[in-house]
Amino acid sequence: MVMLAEETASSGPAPSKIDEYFGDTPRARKRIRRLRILDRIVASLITTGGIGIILAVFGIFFFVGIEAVPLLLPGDAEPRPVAEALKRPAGRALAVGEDEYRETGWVLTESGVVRLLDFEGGAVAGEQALEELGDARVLAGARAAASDVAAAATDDGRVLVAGVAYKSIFEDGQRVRQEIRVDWQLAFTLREDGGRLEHVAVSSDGENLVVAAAGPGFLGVAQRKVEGRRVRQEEATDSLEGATVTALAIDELAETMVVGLANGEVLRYELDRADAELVERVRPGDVPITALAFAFGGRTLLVGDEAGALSGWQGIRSTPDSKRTLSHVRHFDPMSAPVTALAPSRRNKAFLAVDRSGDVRVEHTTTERTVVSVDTIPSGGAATLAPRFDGATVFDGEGNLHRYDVSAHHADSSVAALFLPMLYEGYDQPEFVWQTSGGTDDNEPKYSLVPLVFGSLKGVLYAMLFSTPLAILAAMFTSQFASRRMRGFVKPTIELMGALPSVVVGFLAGLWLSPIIDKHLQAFFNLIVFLPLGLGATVIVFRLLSNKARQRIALGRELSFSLPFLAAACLGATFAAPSMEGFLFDGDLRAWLVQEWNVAYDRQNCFVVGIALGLAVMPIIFTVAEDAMSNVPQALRAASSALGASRWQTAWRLVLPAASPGIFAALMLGFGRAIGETMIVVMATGNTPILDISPFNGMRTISAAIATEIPEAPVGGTLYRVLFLSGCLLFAFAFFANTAAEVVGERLRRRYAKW
Amino acid sequence: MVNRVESGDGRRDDPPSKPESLRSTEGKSVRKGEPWVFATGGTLILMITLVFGVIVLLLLNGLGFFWPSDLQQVEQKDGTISLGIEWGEEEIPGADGGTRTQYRVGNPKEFPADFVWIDDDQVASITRPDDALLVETLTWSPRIGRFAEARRDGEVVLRSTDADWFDRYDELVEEAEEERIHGKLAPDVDEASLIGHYLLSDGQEIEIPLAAVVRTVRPNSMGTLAKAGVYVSRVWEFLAAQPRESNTAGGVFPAILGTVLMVLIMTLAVVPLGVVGALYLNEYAKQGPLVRLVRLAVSNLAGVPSIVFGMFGLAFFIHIVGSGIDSVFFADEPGAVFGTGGLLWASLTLALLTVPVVIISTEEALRATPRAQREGALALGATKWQSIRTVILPASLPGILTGVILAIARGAGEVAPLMLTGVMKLAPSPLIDGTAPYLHADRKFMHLGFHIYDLAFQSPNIEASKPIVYATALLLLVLVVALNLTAILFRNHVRRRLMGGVF
Repeated sequence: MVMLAEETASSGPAPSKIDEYFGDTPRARKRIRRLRILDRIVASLITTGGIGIILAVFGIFFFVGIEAVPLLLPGDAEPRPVAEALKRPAGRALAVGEDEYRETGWVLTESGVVRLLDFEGGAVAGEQALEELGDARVLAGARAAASDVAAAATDDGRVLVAGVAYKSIFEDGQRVRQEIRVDWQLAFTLREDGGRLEHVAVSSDGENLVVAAAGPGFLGVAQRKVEGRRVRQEEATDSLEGATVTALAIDELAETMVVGLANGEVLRYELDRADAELVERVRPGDVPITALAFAFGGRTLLVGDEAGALSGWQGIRSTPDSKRTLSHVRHFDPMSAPVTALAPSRRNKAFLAVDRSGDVRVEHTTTERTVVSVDTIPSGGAATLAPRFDGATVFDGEGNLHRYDVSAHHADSSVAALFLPMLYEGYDQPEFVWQTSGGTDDNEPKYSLVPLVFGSLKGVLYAMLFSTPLAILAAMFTSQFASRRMRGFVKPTIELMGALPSVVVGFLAGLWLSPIIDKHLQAFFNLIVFLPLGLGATVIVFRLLSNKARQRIALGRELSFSLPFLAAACLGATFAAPSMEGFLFDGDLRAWLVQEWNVAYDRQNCFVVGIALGLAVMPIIFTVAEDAMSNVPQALRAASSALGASRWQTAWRLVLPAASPGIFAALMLGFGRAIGETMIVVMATGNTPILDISPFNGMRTISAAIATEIPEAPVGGTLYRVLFLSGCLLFAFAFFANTAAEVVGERLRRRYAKW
Repeated sequence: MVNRVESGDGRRDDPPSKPESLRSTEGKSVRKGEPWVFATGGTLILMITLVFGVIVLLLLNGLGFFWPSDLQQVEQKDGTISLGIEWGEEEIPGADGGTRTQYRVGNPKEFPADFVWIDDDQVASITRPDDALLVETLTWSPRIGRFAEARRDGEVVLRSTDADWFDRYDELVEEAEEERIHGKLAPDVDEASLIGHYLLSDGQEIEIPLAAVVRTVRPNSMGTLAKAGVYVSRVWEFLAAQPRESNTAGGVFPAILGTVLMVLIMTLAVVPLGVVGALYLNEYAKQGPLVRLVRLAVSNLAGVPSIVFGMFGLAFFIHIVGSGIDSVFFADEPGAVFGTGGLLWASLTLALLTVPVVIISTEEALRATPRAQREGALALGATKWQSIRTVILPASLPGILTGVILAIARGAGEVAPLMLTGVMKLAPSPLIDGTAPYLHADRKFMHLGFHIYDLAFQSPNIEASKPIVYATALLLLVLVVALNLTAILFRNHVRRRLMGGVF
């Protein structure tokens, strides 16, 4: 090179084209430098790009997983600063409430005053005395669970009720502040003898009103119903046989009243117009009941007692026909001192519990877990949970105000609720239930992933049952017995099958196949018997043929030879169906199934799913298994033949075991494909989340739940995150299957590499 | 035998069953297990039957729908007359014996049901009147009856008794359509000037503005050629027109457009991603256990359920990237622009879904580049990038393209992730229009696959939408199969070329 450069330099004339490229001229050097720089730039670009792409690809699992993480994080509570002006104690607080924006609130105090609080402005917005209080003293107070109605019991046998109203003030279409006022007041004289009323409960839907109050040896209920323009008021009293009432509660629908006694008993009354009928008594413990409340919806009774025990009670039927009786079904961590307040949430089944020692906690009825331990204050008094379940407002025994921001967005779920059977409201025993939306707001969401996982696995099971034998035997035929031309035709055909969009398969399964199976169920079952019979007939006829004819057929014409027999079997199955159904199953297979086996027949059942989903996984299993069997070294097969084995013996005893890791990989890949398949199962399974392995009904799979429920799930809500968690499960299943297939396949490749 | 082993060069393609092997060991051992061979062959037949069954089923149902069937006038023994298209028949449920036939009598506005069942033993006579008409309209389609007269602004301009009324009727419809196209007239009976009067089978007279008439067919008096003309026109409408009657009639053009645009954007994204990824893995990364692990993960990713990719698209593209874009650039827009599902996010999601396919096939192609060519390039003094650009990439281009086509085929048929990332049954605004930036990738879109799902399972009138579902399914199948076949042929072609190309 150097010599060449010298030569060109000395000879004088302009460097030739070649020298310009390869010579040691300044231009060439420059060019090479440029090329090197370019090379380095591209190298770093591709490296960063490549690493970036690979990271991005792994980011998929990360981002799907991270959406599910908040589900498992504990709730959090932070004290919210309270303005100085509101800190001033106003006597013991009896009942408290606040608006949904947490800007204003009210408190009913022992002195018979409803004090209106402007939290946003940091001042007392006003005070309204109970109008008809007169000289009487207020002994007890309560609020309705579902509305801002306060009731005060007096020492002269009356209950005074005040309703608080909020109003949002809008400017330019934007809410700027809240206003609060006492809207109306009512008085009920419950005790004609003017005796003391020491406990009170109230329930109101804003129009109708039920109040109950109790004093020594007295229990009274007053109901005020608005019927058109008429207002009806009815009262009922009871002496309770001298028992001492220590707590009272009425559910939000005003259908049930519960009374807690000093001896630890709880009495349940059914309220019906004027009458309050005692229907049952239960005894949670031997110490006095100190607090009673109903969880949102009114179907779970919450009981707190003198010893600090917290329990939840539900109506349970011991047999399907018996009446529901209260049973102790929810167990919460006990508190350390007598429970002073139980405040249910108006969003979910959580409630706030406060004890006399000042322990403030949020518990959840369904999951039985402590959602968040809010705080410990000097002593416990009245308390409420914010209407949007985003905070708590608590008064201690001295009347000091404490406010908290609570963030527990996923109180409804817990690891136990996701994976263990739970006793839900309205059920009689713990069950796995997936039911994420209900007709009413107070519906208890049921997020058990078990029915979904079960459904996914059930779908896979039937798909594999259908596709595995077909695909593997067909792969064996193609790789071992078929002619070269035959393979040239079969392999692309099966690849084509793999390319069928799953939405097309699902649509055919749901709209075409399922009515046909429905109509010809017997014929379908007949096929299972008739097809092997047809094959048997093929073989018998084959044996009867002359040796020469046999040889001609066995040279790759097996398929065309057996085709007419199989077709005949199909026709036979169809035509024999009606008479067989009449003979074997009294003319109606479905009725027979219900009668004899007690299985309900669903139109969208596992036969349809098995075939459709099987159709989707068959090509994968076939292709991989066929490759594995073809790759069994020829020398092995030749040795087998040389030892006198027939071609079937070679295939069955030699090729199949030798290729078994590859077949295992094929099955794993098929499993991974089947478990994640979405459109087919959405369209062909009926989507009912049931735990029933029977092939005569459908299922709901993880993927179907995701596809149909995520578009409607509020972003960031519990359902949204639970679905993301189920997506992680799906990912894990597929990942496991694919990795297993990959590892085993790799080993197989290495084993035969030496051949 | 021995001979065969020695000369056996093709391991895979050489079938083990040879005539001599059969002849040589005449006796029991050959026949042993022969029934099982037939059994395995039977399973193969079953599988192939399934594939072709699906295809034939779609062909029959999807293509048959456009053919104008005869209109049958069924008179029952009680005197009821129905005029309609024979749709299907079945055994009368709950009764012993006897069959009944389903007719599509149309006129959903006037009759309680679009479809009626008539017991076969109640039928007195079936005729095919020459003057029976099937009128496809923009709304309340189809109308089945007879033409009575046409009026312009109340004046009768054409009667069914006139000679060659059908030709003049066609002219009137064309004239009315002209008005509709120019936006002069809403197809409403009160406002339209040209009104057609029709007699239904039960004697009712109905009025339809001619501007609302899409097509009028007289199947009973048409020859095969004329019917073929209607067939072609219906197929064209299916491919090129907007849907009507809440997707149960008309065309699927927006769904075709949505599918094609989505696939295009996906391809634009997936090609550079896949190729750069594969170049890195195969050419730049230091080969070792880590790269092997990455490769394993990439092929693993190809098996991850598509719905999981949909969730990623929802969580990352829509809620993180999209909302981020919205809060920076579209803070004053009232609704979400990119923070909701749309064409772009769906395409990118599918690009991620298909990137493993491209990476794997590109890597395979890169590896298949003959070593001699690479070394030749390097020996000539080419830098690494030069050799990649001028030698390796061109040589592996066909392999890369095969991968891309396979990715497209997979992406075109995938529906589940789209349901989370922006597909709609009826897109509110078109993807392409006259306002900048012309292609609105932020908008929701329609897709052939989702169209099938929606029509088959969410449609109010499933029986009426069945034919169009079959036709749409056939269209999607043809699209996907054509792409796959292209890839397969391409691959075979490339293999042959590479085999011949090595010195």
